Amino acid sequence: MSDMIVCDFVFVPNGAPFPTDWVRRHPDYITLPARFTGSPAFMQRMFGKRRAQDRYKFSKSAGIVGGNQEPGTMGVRQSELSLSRAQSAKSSSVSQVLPVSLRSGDFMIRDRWTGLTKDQLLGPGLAYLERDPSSLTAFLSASGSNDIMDSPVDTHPGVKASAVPSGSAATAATEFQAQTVNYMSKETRTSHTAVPFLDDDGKQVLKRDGMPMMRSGDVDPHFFIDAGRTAVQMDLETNLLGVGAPVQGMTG
Amino acid sequence: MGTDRTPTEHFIEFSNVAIGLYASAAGLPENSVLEIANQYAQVRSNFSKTEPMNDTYHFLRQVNVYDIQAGYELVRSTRIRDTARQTQ
Repeated sequence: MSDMIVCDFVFVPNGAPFPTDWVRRHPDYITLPARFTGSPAFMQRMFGKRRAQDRYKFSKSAGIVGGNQEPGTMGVRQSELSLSRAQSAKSSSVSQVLPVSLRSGDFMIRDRWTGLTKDQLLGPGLAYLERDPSSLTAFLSASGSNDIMDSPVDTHPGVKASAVPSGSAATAATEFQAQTVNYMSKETRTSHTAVPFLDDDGKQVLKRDGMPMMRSGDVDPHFFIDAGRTAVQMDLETNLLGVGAPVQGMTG
Repeated sequence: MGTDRTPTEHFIEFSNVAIGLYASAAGLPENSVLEIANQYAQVRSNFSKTEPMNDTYHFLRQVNVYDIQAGYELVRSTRIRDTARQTQ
């Protein structure tokens, strides 16, 4: 397996406009949680007038590190970048950095960040990456999800079912997609059997129209809560390890 | 369901609840998640014109918003707990 990733991407900090144009150019994409953690020197240049070739840093449990800035944008071209990600969503607290090359990714164009505070810029966001098979393979391999490599993401039922109706699953929760892919792609989870969606006390969960909500018989709702908590834990551990932690003094 | 690309109508609502379950457990702000879903839906979703749309999140159906919020509420109310707490 190659650990090189070549793909287009755009990073969008939370609160920044949805990258409509980029998404239209890359209708088939994945999103990863990311955080901008530029060095003080880079931040100085970013918020200042200098736009020299610089290295910057992006990270979180699945983020992007490194790159060259492109004049006029927070851009990258043929850069040295790394994708850092915890080795296992289940147990590992060790972050792994994979070298990747992002072909022509960019951050948001600077003027599109107008109105965002520095905290927002330095806070979490989403990196949108084109769904290139090789990049997806490398990314998912980093999470130990080798068992899903043979199948494209959106052939898997849970992901598609989530993504299509409201369009939310692919973007709303940062690691939701990657973890859900892993979970849903198990060959056994292809049940067509609908069972009542009950809470932990055995009470029926109702739909908006008051009718009983159903779920697939082999999809456990607790998985999603566990995955969410795991993501938070990974985030904390990542920051404690200093991988992706915002540079001191740059977050205030 | 299955390995086809067609969402199974039965499970659409649960899928959106699952988003709420995950996002709530992860501490993601509800309005932010809904806004992201809204923006995504603007680009990717194609709902029937007869579908009642949400007043705040104009590109989401009412039911989508309800279901995501339901996921949040299930976590907040501890009606659905994480595995560790469930087994305590």
